[in-house]
Amino acid sequence: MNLSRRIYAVLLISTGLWCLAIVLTPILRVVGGEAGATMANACYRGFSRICHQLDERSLHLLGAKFGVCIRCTAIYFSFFFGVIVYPFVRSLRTKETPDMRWLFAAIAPMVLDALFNDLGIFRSGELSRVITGSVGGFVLAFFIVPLFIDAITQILIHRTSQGETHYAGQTQ
Amino acid sequence: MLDKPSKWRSAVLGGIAIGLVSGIPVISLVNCCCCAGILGGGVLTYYLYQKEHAEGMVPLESSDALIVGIMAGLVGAFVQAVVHGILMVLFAGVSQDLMRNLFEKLIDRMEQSGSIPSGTVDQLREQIESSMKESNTMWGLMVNLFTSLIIYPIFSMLGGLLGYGIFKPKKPQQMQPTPTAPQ
Repeated sequence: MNLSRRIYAVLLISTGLWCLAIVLTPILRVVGGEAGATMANACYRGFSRICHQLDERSLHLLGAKFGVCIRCTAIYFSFFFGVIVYPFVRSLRTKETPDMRWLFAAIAPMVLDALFNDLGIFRSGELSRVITGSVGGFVLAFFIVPLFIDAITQILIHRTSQGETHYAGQTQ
Repeated sequence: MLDKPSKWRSAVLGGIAIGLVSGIPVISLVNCCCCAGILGGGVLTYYLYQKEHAEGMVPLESSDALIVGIMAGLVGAFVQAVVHGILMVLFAGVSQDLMRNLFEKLIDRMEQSGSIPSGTVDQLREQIESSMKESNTMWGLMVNLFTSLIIYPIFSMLGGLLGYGIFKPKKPQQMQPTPTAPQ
């Protein structure tokens, strides 16, 4: 397994665990007993730093809400899906990201949807939140994956070359 | 070639921006929109970092963006905790009343404009009330800092990487060889 694939695997597993935590939070609260409820509360508290977690705007499982709201759920799960799809569409060795205008075009509907809703211009429904969030998250993966793989590769290569220089210095 | 600029200056400035956006009540609601405040702070940090980069220095790489983003997230977590602590100590009672009034007005406006359904209003009030009670204790502050130290560097790192994608220097386009005139 080459370095790019290993870094990709780390990113894929981390993103998967993040999504799993979102779904596991309500399950732990309902079926996890006292320990599960404590863990679920910790998850809710952690996710509360990045999401409003309103009951009305969240998906529910077994009667308890997900760790984050429906829009955030759509973003994270579609990002995860984007990370899965990425190697089938582009090479993991590609350092170049697609044109940044694609990212702005993908995120703009989500930002406008949230903004117009908060300003009271129109009321966004669950469908618009899911669609705009999914588009934003999916496209974002195509920018983050190559940049992340490239960045970690550089760090590891620098570290290895520094180690070799240090070792050469010691042996001389 | 000269070394790259130090990452600390831009990381501290970006971290302060992240900490202020996340620590000041009401403004911190920006983070409810997909962590926009922290992501934006990461982008800002890389922008400041690449501004310090001069000609003749070693070119910047995506790893620099990743590291400077993580550093800004860590600084931001501490700044946010400090801002929160200062507000807690200085304006314990006053700020709670002020915050309660501000939130009440905000909720009323959102309810009137139809941004939030009326069923959600009570729940939102309860949530704000309980989080205000929890966060205004030393234990709440420590838990707050702990969760921030995990979450802020992740999102700030993503912001830094996006910043690298946005501000990285464009590669010069290769010139097409001009056809030579037949002699």
